[in-house]
Amino acid sequence: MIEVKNLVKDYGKHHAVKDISFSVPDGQIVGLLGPNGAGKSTTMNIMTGYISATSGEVKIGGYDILEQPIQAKKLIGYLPEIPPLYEDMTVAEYLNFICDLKGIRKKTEKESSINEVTEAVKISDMKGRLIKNLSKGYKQRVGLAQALIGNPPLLILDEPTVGLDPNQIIEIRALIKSLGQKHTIILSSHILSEVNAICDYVLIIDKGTLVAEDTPEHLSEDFSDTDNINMSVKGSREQVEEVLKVSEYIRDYKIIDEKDGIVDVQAKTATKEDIRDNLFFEFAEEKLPIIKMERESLSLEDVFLKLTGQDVEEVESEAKKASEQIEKQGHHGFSFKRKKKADSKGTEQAETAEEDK
Amino acid sequence: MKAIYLKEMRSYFHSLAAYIYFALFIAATGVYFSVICMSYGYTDYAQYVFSNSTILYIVIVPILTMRLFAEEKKQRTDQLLYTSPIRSGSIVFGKYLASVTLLAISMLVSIIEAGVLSMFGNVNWKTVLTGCLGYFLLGACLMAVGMFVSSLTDNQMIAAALSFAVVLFCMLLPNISNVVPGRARYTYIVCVLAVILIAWFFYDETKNVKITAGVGVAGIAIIAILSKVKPALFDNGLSKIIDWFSVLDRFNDFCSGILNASSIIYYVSFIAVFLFLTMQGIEKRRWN
Repeated sequence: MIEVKNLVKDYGKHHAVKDISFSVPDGQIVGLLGPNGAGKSTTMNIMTGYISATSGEVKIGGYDILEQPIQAKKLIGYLPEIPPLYEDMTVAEYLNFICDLKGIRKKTEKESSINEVTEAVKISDMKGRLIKNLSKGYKQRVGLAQALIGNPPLLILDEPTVGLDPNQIIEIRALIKSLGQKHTIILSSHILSEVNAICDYVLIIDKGTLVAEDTPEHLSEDFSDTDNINMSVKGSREQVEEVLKVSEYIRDYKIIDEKDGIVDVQAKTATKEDIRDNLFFEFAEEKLPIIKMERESLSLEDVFLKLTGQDVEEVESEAKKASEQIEKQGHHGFSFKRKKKADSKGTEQAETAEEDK
Repeated sequence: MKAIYLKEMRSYFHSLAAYIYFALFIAATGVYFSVICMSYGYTDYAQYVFSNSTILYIVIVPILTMRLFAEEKKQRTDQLLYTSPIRSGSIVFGKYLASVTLLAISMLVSIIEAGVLSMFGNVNWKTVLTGCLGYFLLGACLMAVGMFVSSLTDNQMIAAALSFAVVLFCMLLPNISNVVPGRARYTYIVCVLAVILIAWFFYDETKNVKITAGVGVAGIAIIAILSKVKPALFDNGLSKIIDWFSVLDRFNDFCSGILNASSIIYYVSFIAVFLFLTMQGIEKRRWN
């Protein structure tokens, strides 16, 4: 469906996209994953013909986006990062205009197409509303409806769930997943769980280059050289540690909790093989029953951080620092406000104290 | 193209733009019509009403053209248009036709006014119709410029201010052409400056010194050859150059009832050039 070859986009001296190549077969849902500013939107804008690449080529369904733009664009439904909505139109008027743009002329065809699409994204009862009065979630849906009109075989969705509330996110994800049965879909996201949940295939982009591509499962496997084993063992801490220390299958371990004679352990395996059987027998020899045991592969999140050159702990500590900073500032702000109030009116002190709680 | 045209028409009539335009047009022509034609009894509608109200374009053109492309960019809807299966030519043409349609509708008002006038006296319909055509073509030219200006920015206010300035400049051109010095050496200076400017433009676009130098040398050479072969060309050259761009000059012919093919071709090609420039501007945006 899509073939992207050696795509390069320079903005002056800044290289937004550096030599990206990939292809997407029919009927797949592909996730374009990357941190902010990695070049996801630029790549999508080039694929849809909104901007042109400095070099390289894009073929949609065999048509070159530069040389046969009309044929290529007919195959695409595009939802840009900011949905392109005319705020002074009603939803129905807007979708009607989109039909005109996409060359759907017949009145009956238009009506059925609009009805179909509005039902799919659940905006049927919003048709008469002015777009500027819609909430952000609904605007996003109208944007999605726009992309769906004309039933194009390829959907390109740039961060389709950004700005939606959790319920809407789940709904839209389910919708995309169901659309994936009939369409080829490329969607970009910086939310890993989203890509993990929806996509059949993942392209990870960082600083304008494609750093990895594979199915989410394979990516998790390929990039981990160890697994984590989480288990709970009945016994004392010392007994459990003794077994773990001598075990050749465990590289490292961490006692997480010890309560009511049950020890929770997180262990790192020495190899990538499934060693649960071996562990079971080792503990059985010492008459230590294992109550719970599960194997955990490296998550896509870890892969992503690894590939984009960030360290999990680093990111976490940075996030912690930032949140502490915010907390501090917030606290200052509040105590200042409180003092002021207390000065002006003693009686209000009780009230502010309540606010504090 | 039809989709864009209908959308623009809709948005003219859903916003205040169309109504402000009609109000201004009817008020301005109405004042001239009632004072000069009705009160003083002059029946030469084209000469009095059309000639006097060309100044109206200074306000009308920005009102009708400022949002054409600037707003699309601001609202990011340009992304929709340029990724839809339609040519950029259709987008430009659809938008332009919509703005010109309003102009054409207001010409009907003028014809009605002339019709009223004909009930009380002898109206020369030929001059009224040529006047209508001239007024329309003049407006259409300025609209093309206004639309081009709108495609340069994503800020409507800047687009409006710029096209206001450009139209004002166009209106003042005949006066400017009268006061520029006529001696040949000034023409040379301006021509050389123009060559330098063009060469700089090439340098800015290509960053290639050879091409820049080539363009500069070729330009100077052409000026030198022309000065030897046809020195008369440079006498009064500045005002000649300015007259090329003076859209207002040709309009006066229409008002006196002269239907001059060269004027019509001039206007049509003027429009074509600016539509082409707008299209190029859109295409260029993709490469930036």
